Amino acid sequence: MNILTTALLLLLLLPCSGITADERRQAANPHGRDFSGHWELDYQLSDHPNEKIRSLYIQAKSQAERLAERAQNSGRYVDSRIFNYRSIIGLGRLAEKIAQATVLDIRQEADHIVIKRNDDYSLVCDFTDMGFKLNAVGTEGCAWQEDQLTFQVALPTGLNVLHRLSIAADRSRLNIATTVLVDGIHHPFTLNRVYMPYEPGEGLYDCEYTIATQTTCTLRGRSE
Amino acid sequence: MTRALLILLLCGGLLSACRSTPQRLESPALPEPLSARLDIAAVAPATRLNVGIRVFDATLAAASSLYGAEKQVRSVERRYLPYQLKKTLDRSGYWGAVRVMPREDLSAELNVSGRLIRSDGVVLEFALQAVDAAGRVWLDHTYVDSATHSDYAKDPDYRLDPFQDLYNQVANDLAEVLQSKSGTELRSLLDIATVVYARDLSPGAFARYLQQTGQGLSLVGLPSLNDPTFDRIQRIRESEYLFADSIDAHYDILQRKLGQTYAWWRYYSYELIVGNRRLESIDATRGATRGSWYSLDRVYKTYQESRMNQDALRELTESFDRETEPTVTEIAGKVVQLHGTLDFQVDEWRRLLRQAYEQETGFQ
Repeated sequence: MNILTTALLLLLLLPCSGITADERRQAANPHGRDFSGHWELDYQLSDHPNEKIRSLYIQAKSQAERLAERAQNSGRYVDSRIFNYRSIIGLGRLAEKIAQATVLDIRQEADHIVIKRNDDYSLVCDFTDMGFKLNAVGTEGCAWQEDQLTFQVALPTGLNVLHRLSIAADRSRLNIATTVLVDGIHHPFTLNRVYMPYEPGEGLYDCEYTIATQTTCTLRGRSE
Repeated sequence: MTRALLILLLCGGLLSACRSTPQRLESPALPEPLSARLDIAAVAPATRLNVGIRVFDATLAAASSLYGAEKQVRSVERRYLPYQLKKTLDRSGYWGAVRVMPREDLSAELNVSGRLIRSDGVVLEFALQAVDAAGRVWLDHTYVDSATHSDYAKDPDYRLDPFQDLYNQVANDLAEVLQSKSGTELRSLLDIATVVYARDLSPGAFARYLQQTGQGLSLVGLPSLNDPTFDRIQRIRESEYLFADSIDAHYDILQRKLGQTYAWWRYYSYELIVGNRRLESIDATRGATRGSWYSLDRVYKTYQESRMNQDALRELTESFDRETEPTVTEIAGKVVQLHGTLDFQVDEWRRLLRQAYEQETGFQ
């Protein structure tokens, strides 16, 4: 039995092992990773989408050309999807859109995490209920892969998105590797976005969120 | 190898998900949309019963401290939907005061409780039970309705509920039971409710007037009209009405504040669910459209939009209890201010009522 088959079997068997709620809670964060805090994008360490698209495009193009040449010489069949290297551009643009957040506000408790991303939806994971769920659009779920927290989404058009969160031991950097994979396209596209901690300043305003008025801000220090 | 691992990661996760839920949602057929015109009383009934509608129960899937988006919406709905029912009962003209309360309304002649089963903008389903002060069950039924495209044809307006037919049906069913009761039965129910209320405050003095029978509670007798203790109870009950009105006003505020957001949530949810059902069918018949950049982008945007909407609802709901206004009310001539969540305020109110009653009468 090869490694891949074993890993697949393990993944299939995991949800069946009748563990109790307490055990599940204990196993909620097996490596004790804490992502909480305020984080902003570190442009220096992060992938630059245009550069990554260009380099992957060149790499895939030359690989496809080599394969095409080899296939022509040997007269053997090669899966035509391998030659679809132009899709890297579309995939890269989509990944860029999906991984657009520049600021993260992460609240983590023993049994859940909420990752607020600017101009995007929050990544939310209930550690005690990490299975996959169907939502209005597709299937989504979160899981620990060793010490990395992953969020996966599978959407009806064959679009799969995987966010992998990892954090440096000294908490100096947090990485979100976003991988976009589309059914029928040979190359997945991964974009690494590295974040560094920051202390949100007090600012000039006191802001409060209420149901009636949404967010209202008043000048700090000015009380009625 | 990298690709193989990635596919394993994605597909492995999805496959493991299949152990508890199907990988592909087999959308069940939708229930038939209800059509019910509200039965409005032609003549005001001679005996008007007060109705207390308790905040609905809702089955929540997981017990985590994380309020998932669904739980957040439920949290609003279990308060919001009873108020919609209250407004419908008010409009029907068959009832006295209809109030929404976090707990059973001890001052009401008829109490309605409900359990929310399903609500997603497409289908609304809840189980309702109505029990009178004598303990007789008037209604025990599960109601279900589905919305249609015409319900969402225009921009949502919370004053036009897409499931109004469902509330009309409940109101009509309750009116039917009410009309089947004789005047004597209804007047007796008013007396029973008064004594039940008195018994709750002072079991030692008033329990003897009630008797449990196979058909619920019945009256053995009534306190004399000039009984000073009973007179005090009546006055306390009057202030209970005022308190119940103040509490009920909170749900009115909730509906006004959240109504439009909730209406939009339903609108989006309907659009997403129906859109998803459509996507499922398109996938089955027209596989060729899959994978175009336009469709990928559109599907991701829809997903993103639905999730951001859920985020907004989560934040809205989180602020609900924080924002609950203190209730200012009066007990035995003294103005008191109650703070905290409505559940807490009701408990505090009951404690203060008993205290006031004990101080006045010396009864424990």
